[in-house]
Amino acid sequence: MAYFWMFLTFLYFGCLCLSGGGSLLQFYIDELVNRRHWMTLEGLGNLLAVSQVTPGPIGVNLATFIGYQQGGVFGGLVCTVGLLFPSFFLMSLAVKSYDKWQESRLVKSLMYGVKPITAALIMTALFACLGMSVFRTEIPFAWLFGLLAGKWKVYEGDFGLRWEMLPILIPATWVLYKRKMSIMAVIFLSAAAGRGLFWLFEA
Amino acid sequence: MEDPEKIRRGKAVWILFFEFLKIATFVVGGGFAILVVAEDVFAKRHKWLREGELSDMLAIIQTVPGLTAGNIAIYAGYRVAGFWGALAALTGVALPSFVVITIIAMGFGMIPMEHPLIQGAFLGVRTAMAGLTLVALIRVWKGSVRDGMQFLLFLLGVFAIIAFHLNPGWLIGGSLLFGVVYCMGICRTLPPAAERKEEE
Repeated sequence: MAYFWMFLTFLYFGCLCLSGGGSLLQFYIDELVNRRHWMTLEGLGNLLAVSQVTPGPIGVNLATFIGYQQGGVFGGLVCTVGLLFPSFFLMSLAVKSYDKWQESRLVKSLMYGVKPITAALIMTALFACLGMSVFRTEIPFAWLFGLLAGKWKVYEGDFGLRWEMLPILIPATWVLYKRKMSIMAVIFLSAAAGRGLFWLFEA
Repeated sequence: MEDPEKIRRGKAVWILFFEFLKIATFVVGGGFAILVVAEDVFAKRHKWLREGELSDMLAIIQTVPGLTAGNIAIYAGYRVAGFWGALAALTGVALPSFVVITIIAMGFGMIPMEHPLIQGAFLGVRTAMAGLTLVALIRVWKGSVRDGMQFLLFLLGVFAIIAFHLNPGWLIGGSLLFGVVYCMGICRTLPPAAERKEEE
């Protein structure tokens, strides 16, 4: 029965991961971390890191990894198949009816609405990524919105900037944006730099 | 006697499987890297697809829900050998990940996560991940937020998630509905921003 739910969960992700899986991370954060507590945010970040440097599509890597942690080899299989299942049928349909669909006003209208939301989901995933790397905790949005709503309260939490991680964030973003280095090289360099900086400043 | 078309397809299914197996094993870097290599293999070498066909189909590949790499495999497979071709190509793309990750996952629990140096290494990698997500956002931005209404939708989407923890599924569904109502109901003619072209 647990496998059946895992399959349904990833089927749901497969139906909704528009724009090639870019918004998938926010779905994982919302559903697997915040609602079901299958893993912590940092745990998800670590799995994502491994998925980036191993061969194969990142989405498949991550689905297999999460599935394995939840239910062994079969769990990994169930999650991967669930994720790819919807696109298999939708894609076949789309190829068949491509000519009708290419100029369709309906498709264009649907995309007009959903594209900014995809960008928004990547933005919130970015907040989550910052919250588990250059910041010590998640960004305290509840407190911030409280301030805006007029509920003045002194912040009591561990939120703060890890200054020593900025020398990783800024150059990494730059070389990735300019495509000067492969993702794999950036990740291994960041791991080495992270070890050194953490050892210098925090250990 | 067997139908020659059937024989050709039967062979093509196996070739699709092994070519995508190779691509997924050796191409690290996600969807667009795979697109370039797949074009090289299937258009230039096998001449099964037109040159530039996959790039032209980027719109369809990005519109249909699913992973970019998976959708490329399904498209190429389906065009070359129908249903079984698509299934073979998709299996080929997913299999290396599945095997490699399963092996890594078996040993992953043994990494001493509490050790400061390991902690530092993963912290560094998560920082790189934040940079990667930022780059993804910049790349998506140009094609996604093109007029005032889309910018408003973007802001609303971000706000709904960070302030109310709204389920992203509801957001996607709501925005699809909004797109139809706004473009086809309120605006009569499509807003210029809806006449989209895929870039990259």
